Amino acid sequence: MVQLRALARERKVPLKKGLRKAEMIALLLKPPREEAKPARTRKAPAKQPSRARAPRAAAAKAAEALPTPSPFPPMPTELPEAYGRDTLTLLVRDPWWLFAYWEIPDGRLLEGWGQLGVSAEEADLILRLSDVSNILYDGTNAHWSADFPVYHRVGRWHLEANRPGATFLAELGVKARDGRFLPLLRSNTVLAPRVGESPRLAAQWIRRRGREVTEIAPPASVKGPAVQPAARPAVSPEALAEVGGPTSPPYR
Amino acid sequence: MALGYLALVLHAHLPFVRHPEHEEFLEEDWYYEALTETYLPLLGMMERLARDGVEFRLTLSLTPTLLEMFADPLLQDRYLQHLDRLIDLAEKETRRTRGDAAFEPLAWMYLDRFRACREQYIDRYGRDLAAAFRRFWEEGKIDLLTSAATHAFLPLLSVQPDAVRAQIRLGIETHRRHLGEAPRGIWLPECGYYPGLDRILREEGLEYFVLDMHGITHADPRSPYGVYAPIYTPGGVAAFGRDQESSKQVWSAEEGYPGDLDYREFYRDIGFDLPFDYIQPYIHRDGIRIHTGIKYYRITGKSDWKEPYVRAWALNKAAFHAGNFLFNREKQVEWLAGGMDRPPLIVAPYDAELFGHWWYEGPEWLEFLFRKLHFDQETVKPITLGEYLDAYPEAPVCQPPLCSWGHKGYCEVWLEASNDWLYRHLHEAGDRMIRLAREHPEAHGTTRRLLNQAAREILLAQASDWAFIMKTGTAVEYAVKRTKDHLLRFFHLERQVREGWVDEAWLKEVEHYDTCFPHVDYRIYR
Repeated sequence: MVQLRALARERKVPLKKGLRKAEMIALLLKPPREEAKPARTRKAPAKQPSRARAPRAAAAKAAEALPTPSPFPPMPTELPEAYGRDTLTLLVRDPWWLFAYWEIPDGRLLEGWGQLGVSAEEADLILRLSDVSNILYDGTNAHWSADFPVYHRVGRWHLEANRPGATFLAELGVKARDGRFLPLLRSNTVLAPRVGESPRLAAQWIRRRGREVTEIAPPASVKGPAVQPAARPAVSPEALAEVGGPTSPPYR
Repeated sequence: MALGYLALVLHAHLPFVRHPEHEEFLEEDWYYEALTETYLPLLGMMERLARDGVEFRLTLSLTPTLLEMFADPLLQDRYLQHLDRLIDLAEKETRRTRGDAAFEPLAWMYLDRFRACREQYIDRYGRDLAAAFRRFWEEGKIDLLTSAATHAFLPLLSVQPDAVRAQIRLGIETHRRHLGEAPRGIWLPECGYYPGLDRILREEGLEYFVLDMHGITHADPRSPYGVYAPIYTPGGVAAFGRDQESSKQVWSAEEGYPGDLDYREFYRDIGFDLPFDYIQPYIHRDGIRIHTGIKYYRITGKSDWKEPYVRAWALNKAAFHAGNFLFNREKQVEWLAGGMDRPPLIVAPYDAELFGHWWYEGPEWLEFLFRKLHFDQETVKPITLGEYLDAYPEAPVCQPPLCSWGHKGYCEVWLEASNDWLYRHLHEAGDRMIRLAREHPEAHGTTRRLLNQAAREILLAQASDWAFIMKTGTAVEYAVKRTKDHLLRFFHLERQVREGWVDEAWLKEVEHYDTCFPHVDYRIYR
């Protein structure tokens, strides 16, 4: 509380008596009234320090009587909805599901509609997920693809692909009612985890001593419980659902 | 000669929770409770085992944020205040329960334990817990692993390899700074792995890590050993696999040991049970009832009816369960050894805070287990991960798939409806941090301070703990606030660097709040 009051003095935020801690913090977090509008030009703050430092020191005494706002733009209190740039990022959730988030500026959409020669009402915003395992994707040769209609130019979505072990890529674009698709953004590629025991037995061996790693010839005979492939899956999806500790660190 | 080995691995981690802006802060209790109930008891156990000549081996990860908290003077002072309050409460309890055959001995048990913690923390370790652990590391009894700097869940950061590298690199540096030497192994946060991460680990000089079982059994190609010996990834780093059988015996809420009816009940705490006026000085100053750590009941059964805790019974059970665990490991090793060309290794990793905090008798169980391993049999020997790798440095090369030890085995815990909004912001911040570091190869003065603080803020925002808490639904508000605060501070710092101005008063304030990694150099992002 003492620190909060000190901070309030420093920021010239008037505090009434009998305020609770949370109320004080709320008052302190509130941007100063004069600064509340974020509509400053981008360049303005750069000029601020030179203007700011001198008055700050010189007018310190005068300021004691009259609260003056910080000459600097305050820290925003909420994260932006979007960052104003082309974004399409694909993440892996599990062997069967992926996740994408995106942002596409209005201008790009307009361009898309224009190129397809359709109006906004005649085209949908589509997220196309494609299996591009082991190919150079040219926009047409995916092993599999699925279209997910999305309704916002800024958004996120969980995508079911059900293709463990495949490599994926997503495209965000506009699709005309006649089926023509114009991709506007392309994502990173991701590899969904494979599931089940591999049919191939390891044939490459290495030896590591400290930082030194040497490839060695595989031993003439190897004895181990998985030399032969298992008759049953080593770990079933049901068993995987059991994975994970019940507690983790002491959060309550 | 032993037929096989047991590697017990404990992962000790807490997010960086430190609030100088408040005299008391609820979430700081996570750390104080873990000190009293887990970290100090584990050190006490190691001291007793060493004194009695018991050859024990333990692999322990101390995360960088935990090491930072160990060393923080404010948290050290506050822990002592916390402990003194507990001692005061326990003293009061010995008076309140005087003559009560069931409760008075328990009040004394707590008082003795809290006093012992104080003696241990102040007199024996001089508040320096890192040094206390380091001693056993130097003696070769334990193997200390590092982790990602703020325990970021790396598969969901993989789109930014430079951000992943910064987490790893700072983890290693923090380990070296607090413990004197670089670690050989790393505990990947939540055992989170993705193909390609191994290259970064190798480049940063790390030799091994641990995966959940399916990380090894679903690797391609297949290892002949299953999870019973490590593999090498294509990047040349060793991966050990968790043994599900031994895990389940300890983890499982239903079948596991910690659920035994004679063990202490976690949820019955005098912070909730005793009259408000009596307990008020020991709970949160706003009157919020909290766990004090003094709990008088045993699990008893599934209903709400609870019987008083009987320490002797609980200890008997811990000894019995240690014997049962060992018996099962002996049988497992005997069965495996016949079919393997090298001694099988059983890797049993757990969250350290399970021992003592959740499972009150966990440290005693562990101590019984080490004593039994040493005195009662010769089939299974305890070993550290590093020791096993030194003894058997040749292994097949296999690529584990992306995986974790979280619920369902992949990323869903940290990427679902409650927390998936995070990644847009984390990645945007990551991009900007990397760009800043490239644009300022040698910053000086205030710019350097801005950049270093920006690195601290983004690292703190990346902690997997926040997404985890949002998912589990406890302390959600705090987790959301922490993530947003760090990101907002990051973006505000980034703006100042980009636009060439500095709000010195604000910068000082932020440096005062988020002190984690005081020596961080933003160039880890280059």
